[in-house]
Amino acid sequence: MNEQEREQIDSLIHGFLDGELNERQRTELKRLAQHNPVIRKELHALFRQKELLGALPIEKAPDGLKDEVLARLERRLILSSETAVPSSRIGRLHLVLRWTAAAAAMALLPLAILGLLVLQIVQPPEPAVGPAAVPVQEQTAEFLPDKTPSAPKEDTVLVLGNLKFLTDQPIAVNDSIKKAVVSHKLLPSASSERFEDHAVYRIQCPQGQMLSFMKTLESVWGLCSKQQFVLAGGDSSASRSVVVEGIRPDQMEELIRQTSPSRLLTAASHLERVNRRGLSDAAIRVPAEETGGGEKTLLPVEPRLAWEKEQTAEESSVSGGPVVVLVIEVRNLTEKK
Amino acid sequence: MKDNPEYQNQTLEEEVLIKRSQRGDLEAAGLLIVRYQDRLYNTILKICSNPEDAAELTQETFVKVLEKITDFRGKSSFYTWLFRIGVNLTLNFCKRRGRLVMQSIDGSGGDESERATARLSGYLLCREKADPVGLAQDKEAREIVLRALGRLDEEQRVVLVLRDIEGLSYQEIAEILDIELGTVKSRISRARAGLRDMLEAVLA
Repeated sequence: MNEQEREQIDSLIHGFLDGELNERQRTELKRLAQHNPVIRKELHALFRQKELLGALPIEKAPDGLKDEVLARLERRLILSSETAVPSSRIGRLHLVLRWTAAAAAMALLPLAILGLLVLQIVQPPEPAVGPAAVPVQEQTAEFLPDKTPSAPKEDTVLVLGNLKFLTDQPIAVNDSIKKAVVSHKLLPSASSERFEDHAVYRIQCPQGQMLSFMKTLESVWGLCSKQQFVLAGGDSSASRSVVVEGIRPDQMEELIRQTSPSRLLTAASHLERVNRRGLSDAAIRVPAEETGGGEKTLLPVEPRLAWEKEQTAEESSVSGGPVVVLVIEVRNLTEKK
Repeated sequence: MKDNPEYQNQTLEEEVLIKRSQRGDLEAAGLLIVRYQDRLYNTILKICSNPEDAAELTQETFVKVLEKITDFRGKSSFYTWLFRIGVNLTLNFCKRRGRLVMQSIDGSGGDESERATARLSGYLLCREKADPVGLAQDKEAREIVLRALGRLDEEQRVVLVLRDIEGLSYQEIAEILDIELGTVKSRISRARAGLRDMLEAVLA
């Protein structure tokens, strides 16, 4: 039997086992098996092997698999919805302002160069009195992390993060947010987008105004089954997202009061731990490097007190303060018909 | 089978469950999971040979499927789509894990094992009549078969599991593995011959 014949016979045997042969092929295999004991033996052995594999009992999936899958799915959906706000969601006004600013800068650049040339011609240069490193240092200082507390700058924009509401009363929640936006005259600096099952608001205003806005929103908490605050990690791969489950209105106000990204991160991290352990849990110890002073203990009932006191002096003026940005997401829990 | 009214009812019901799941209905998603969890787990277990890994891979498959369910357009059956994701996840996992720990396919020794070997040998070598279902219920005999299956290379093991254990058609296997029909056939014949050789070596 050559290799080609062998392949043909194999094809007939496996086709027979799988019920894929036509009448002519079946007759051919029957004839071959009757005259060749090797083929007959092989056919029988493979038939029994297939029969045995098919008879192996079906192993049942572990108990609770469905619940575990649904829980995982829910966790992933929550996490994936908390990514940074895409540029398409940023308000049109904001984009127009950016384009205008860029165009103005382009137009002014030749004038500035011309002005410098004229100045150099008219005013002879002063003799150098020190290394040129000084202005460079001043320039780079803006990009260094703020190690020491400093008064908030009026032109600083602090992105707070995402406040997420899950509710089965989306109409009432969205109405409350819209009314709060209107009553605090935030319309020019706010934008919103509606999706099939959720709505996203982007609010940008001075810190004091945001605090007042948040106080108006307190009633929304009662309409929602779940609240969550997410502080997205930065560009650095080392940065992580902080997720504060079950955030309360007073905790949101504490976050809004923060004056720098690093303070915001510290405060959100504390709240994440506090809420995760539950308010009835024992007091939480905060290591010295996080408080900026000695080791402190946060009382579960008022977790904010320990670090709030350190900042009251610089937070006394809440009417203005840095400009803050907050994204609010309202996710609909009701089933669509 | 597709003309069978019960099959048509099941398909209709499945379509409803898929549509509801696509709208975010977790109850419908749960029903889809319950419908397929045993078959998927069983298939994955036969490929990866470890119950804990199989449970984890089954869960991961359902999560992925439900995350992407809005992309499901019904070009293939839901079952084929589910198995395509599950089998590919399992094969990737097996590749990362490396070859299975080579196990002896002899029994663990003792009278029970010898008796199982004799029964299997008599059955597979056609020396005696035997009930394949009864034989497959014998733990020792089953272990020998599963160990032999576990020693096949992954490509062959997968087609054998999908064809001879799960009972899928050549076409469905080709869709799940994204390979040609001819490749499915040749892999099946090599896999059956490979398994027979391994079992014969033990049972002869």
